[in-house]
Amino acid sequence: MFKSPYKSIKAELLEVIEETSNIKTFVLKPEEKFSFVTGQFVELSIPGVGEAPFTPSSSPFKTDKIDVTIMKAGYVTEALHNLKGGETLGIRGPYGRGYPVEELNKKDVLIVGGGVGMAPLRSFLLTLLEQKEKFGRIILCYGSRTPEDVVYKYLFPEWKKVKGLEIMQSVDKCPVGEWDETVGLVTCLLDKVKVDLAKTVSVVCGPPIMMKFSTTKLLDVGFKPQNIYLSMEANMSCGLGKCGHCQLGHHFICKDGPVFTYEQIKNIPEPFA
Amino acid sequence: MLTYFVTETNWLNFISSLVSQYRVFGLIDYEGELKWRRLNEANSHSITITKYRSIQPIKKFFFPVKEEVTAEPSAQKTILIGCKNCDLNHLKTTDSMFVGSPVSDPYYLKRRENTIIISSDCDDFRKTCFCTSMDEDPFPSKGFDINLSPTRGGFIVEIATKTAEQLISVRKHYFQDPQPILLQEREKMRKRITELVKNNNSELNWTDPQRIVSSTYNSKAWDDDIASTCVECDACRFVCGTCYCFILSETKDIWSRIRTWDSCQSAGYARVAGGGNPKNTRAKRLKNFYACKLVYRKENFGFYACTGCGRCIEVCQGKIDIRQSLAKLKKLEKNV
Repeated sequence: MFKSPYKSIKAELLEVIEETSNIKTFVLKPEEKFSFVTGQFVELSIPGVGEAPFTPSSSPFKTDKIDVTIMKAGYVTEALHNLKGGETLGIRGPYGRGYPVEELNKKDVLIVGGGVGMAPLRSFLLTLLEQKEKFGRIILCYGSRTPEDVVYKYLFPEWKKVKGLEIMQSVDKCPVGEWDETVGLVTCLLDKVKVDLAKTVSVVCGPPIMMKFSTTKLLDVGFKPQNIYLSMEANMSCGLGKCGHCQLGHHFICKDGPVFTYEQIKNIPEPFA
Repeated sequence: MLTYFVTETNWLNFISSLVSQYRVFGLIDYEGELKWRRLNEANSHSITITKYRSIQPIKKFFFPVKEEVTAEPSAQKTILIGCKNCDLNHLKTTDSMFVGSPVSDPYYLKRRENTIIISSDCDDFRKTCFCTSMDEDPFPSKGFDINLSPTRGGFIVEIATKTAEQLISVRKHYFQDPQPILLQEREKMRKRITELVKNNNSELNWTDPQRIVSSTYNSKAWDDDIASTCVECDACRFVCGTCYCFILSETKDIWSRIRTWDSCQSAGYARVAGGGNPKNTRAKRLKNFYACKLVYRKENFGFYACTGCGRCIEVCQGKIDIRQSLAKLKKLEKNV
C-alpha cells in the first residue's frame, strides 16, 4: 500500500507533565512501532492545527512510549500546551542524524545544556547511562534562567546519585538563599570543570545565543571544532531535505543534522543567528 | 542519437495526432510573451516551437503551486512541447532535490516519469537572457526526449529516449531522413544564437559567481545597494525554475496535508517559534537567494541552480538584475 512520506501516523497522548510555567512533557504512544536514534527529531502535529519539529527527550531504549518536552513558543506549541491527555496527535519521522553515540566509545563526554535544550540532552544522557561502561566520565553542565525554569527537577536528585555522572548546575539569576549551586551563565560552569581535552568531546544544546557563547568558551578552553557537537535546531518542516526551510549554508539541517560538529558549520556566516 | 527531418506542416499534424491521447502543453505567443497552454485540435496549429523561453517555469508541471501530499500520487501522460535549454537545466536542480536522498518525493517523481519532454533550440532571445554567462548553451544537448532545431522548411528532430522512439515509430510517416547540409546549417544557427546571447551581455565582466558571492557575503553593499529596492513581492522566486521551497500545512480533513510553493524572500520564511528569525532583513534574504543558487547548490550538486534564464530580472518590481548585482559585487571583491 502507498505510504506518503509526508503522512503522519497517529499517536495517543497518554499524559502531560508540567515541568515549568512554560514547558511541558508530552508522553505519546504511537499506533505503530516507532524507533529513533537519540538526537533525531520528529514532526508532531495536532490534526487540523499545525505541525512542528521536536526532538524526543526519552531514551531510545524505551520503545513503547515517547516523551517530548516542549516549551510554549508559537501557535502549535501553544495548542499543545492546551491539551490535557487522551487526545490523538500525529507523528512522523524520525528524521536526520542524531548524536554519534558509537563514536564516543571510551571517551569522556561533557554535556552542556541550556533551558529547554535539556530535552534532547535528556534522551542523550539516558542513552549514555544505559551503556555507561562504554564511556569514561560523563559530565552534565546545565544552565537555566531561574531555579523555577529547571526542567526535570524530579530527575536531578536521582541523576546526582548515579556513579560516574557528574552534574553541575547554574541559574542566571536567583534571590539569595534559593539556590545552592552556581549563579551565572552556563559558560561559568565551563570555567570550573576540568577535563582531559585529549579524550573529551562536548555535546551542546540550548538557545542559539547559549550555543554561540558555549562554543566560544569551549574553543577558548581548548576543544577542537570537531569535538564540539551542536544541535542546530531550525524550522524544519518536511524533514526530508526538500522544503528548504532549515537550510544552513549548503546543509539541510533536517537531513544533514540536526547534530553537527562545529567543524562542519564554522565557515557558515552567522551559524547561530 | 536518431535524427530525422520533419516539415513544419507535418510536425503540426504530428502534434494534432497526440492531443487526443495525451495531455499536451505548448507555447502560445501573446504579443511576444510565450505562455504554456493545454493544446487541443483547435489551437495545436498555432503554437510557437522555437523563439525563447516562456516566463512560466516548467517546474509547475512536476511541482504544482499547491497539491495534497498525503494521497496516492497520480499523473496523466503529459507532453510538453517547446521547453528550452534553460528549462531542461532547471530540472537538474529539481531532480536533485526531489528524487533520492533520503527519499524521493513520490508526487514529483510520478509526474516526471509520465511526462515526455520535447525541447527546442532557441532562435531568438529576451533582453534578460544570460545563459551563456552561466556557461550554458541556448540549445539543448541532453535532458530531453525529443529536441527540435529549426531549419529550412521544418525541423531537425533528435530522438534521445526509448519513450520518444515509441512515440515517433507509430507516426513514422511524418518524418524523413535529414540531409547532411541541414545538419551543417543547424551548427551555424546554433553558433549564431550563442553569439547573439553573448552580445546581449557583452558588458558583463564577471565569471565565477560562486567566488563573487562567497567573498562578498559580509559586504554592506547587500543592505545599501543590492537589496535596497526589493519590495518583497516574491515574484522572482515563483518564476524561478530551480526554486523548490515549499511549506506544508494542515487541511480540514485532519489527516491530510497540502504543500504550497514558498519563497525565501518572505519575511517569515526562516522564522522560528518564539520569534527568532535568522533571515530578518531583505538583504539577508536576497543574499541567501544568491548564495542558494550560486554557492550552496554548486557545493551540493556541482552545478549552479541558476541557468541564466533571466526570468527573475524580467518580473522584478524593484529592477534588481542579478547580472548587474554580480557585476557590482565583483567590484567590491577586493575591498571586502
